Amino acid sequence: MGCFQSVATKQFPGREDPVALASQTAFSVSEVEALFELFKSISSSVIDDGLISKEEFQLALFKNRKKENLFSNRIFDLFDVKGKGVIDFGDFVRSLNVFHPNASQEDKINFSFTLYDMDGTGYIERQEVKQMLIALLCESDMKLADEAIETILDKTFLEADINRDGKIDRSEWLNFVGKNPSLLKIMTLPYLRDITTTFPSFVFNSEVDDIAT
Amino acid sequence: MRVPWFSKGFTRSISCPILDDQVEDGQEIARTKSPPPFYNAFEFISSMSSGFDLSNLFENKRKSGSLFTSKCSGSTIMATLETVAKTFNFRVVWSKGYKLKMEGESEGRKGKLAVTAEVYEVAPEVAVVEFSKAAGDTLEYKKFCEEDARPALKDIVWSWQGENNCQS
Repeated sequence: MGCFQSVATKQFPGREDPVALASQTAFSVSEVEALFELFKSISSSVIDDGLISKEEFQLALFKNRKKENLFSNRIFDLFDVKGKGVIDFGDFVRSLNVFHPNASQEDKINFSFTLYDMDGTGYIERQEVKQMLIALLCESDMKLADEAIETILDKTFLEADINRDGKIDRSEWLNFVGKNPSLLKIMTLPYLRDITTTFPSFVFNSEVDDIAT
Repeated sequence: MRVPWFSKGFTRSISCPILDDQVEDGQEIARTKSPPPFYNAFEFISSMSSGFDLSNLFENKRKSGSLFTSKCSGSTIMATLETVAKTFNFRVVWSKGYKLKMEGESEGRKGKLAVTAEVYEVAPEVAVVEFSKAAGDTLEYKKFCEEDARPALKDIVWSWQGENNCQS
């Protein structure tokens, strides 16, 4: 390489070709480039290494790098597709793709199931939901008697757990979401439709030929 | 109470305003017969948790909530919402069961601001109230929630969406 520093963009581990990413997702090439602008700002906020660490994720989500909770941890783990403890650009785009307004309902339903299946057993167990409820109450500074929490679980599982085995499997979840479509609200980010206006990438950054788009 | 160590472990007892029985075209009777619709555990978790809400990745400052919990009864909440509407010169367009729609009097940037509010029940003594914009400018809606509705409702609010007061 010599002492001459190439002007090319610095290393972003796992940075894939925007055209390839666009073809795999609901994003257009310019949207992938806009996502890259967002990715750059998040991944450089604590350590400028081209990867999103858990702390950087927390900073972006809560505006507080030390704050973490059960839910943000779970989302981070799902975005960290390769299980490396960091999110690279490819992971970022493919994960956010599920939240695109145009992504399939099936993908959204599957993702939401995996989200709540905290321990990844393939079932959403009653105990897991209880744990999430308790975590939510604590973080919102609300106190509820155990009896009240059990009642919430009873009523929820009465509707969701059709075969009464104390846990919700994928098909029961599918059925439950069908009856309660608002559950998928968190699975769509309308912001993703206007991403190119929120994060405009400068023309000279674009690696894509104008003709190709 | 402002000194943090003093209020550690202290839970503010929330007393709900006691309202005179106002029978308005059968609504009051209807409400006492049945509770608000059930808000299940997953709806509760996904709405109240800030950790699941990725929209914050796209916003520069913390998003103001449009959802809160309350320990008051559904009827009390509905009556309070109607009072708040009148306080800010909003006309209650309709009010049925545990849902109402209010409309501002003045024309905003995108016409009159209209807001719907729905009350649900998570558990006895835990209600959830969801606001949503029915018409008008989004910024005006956010301003209304943040600056007008929020302080006016503080007597019945237990906790706001995404608010973390846990002193860990």
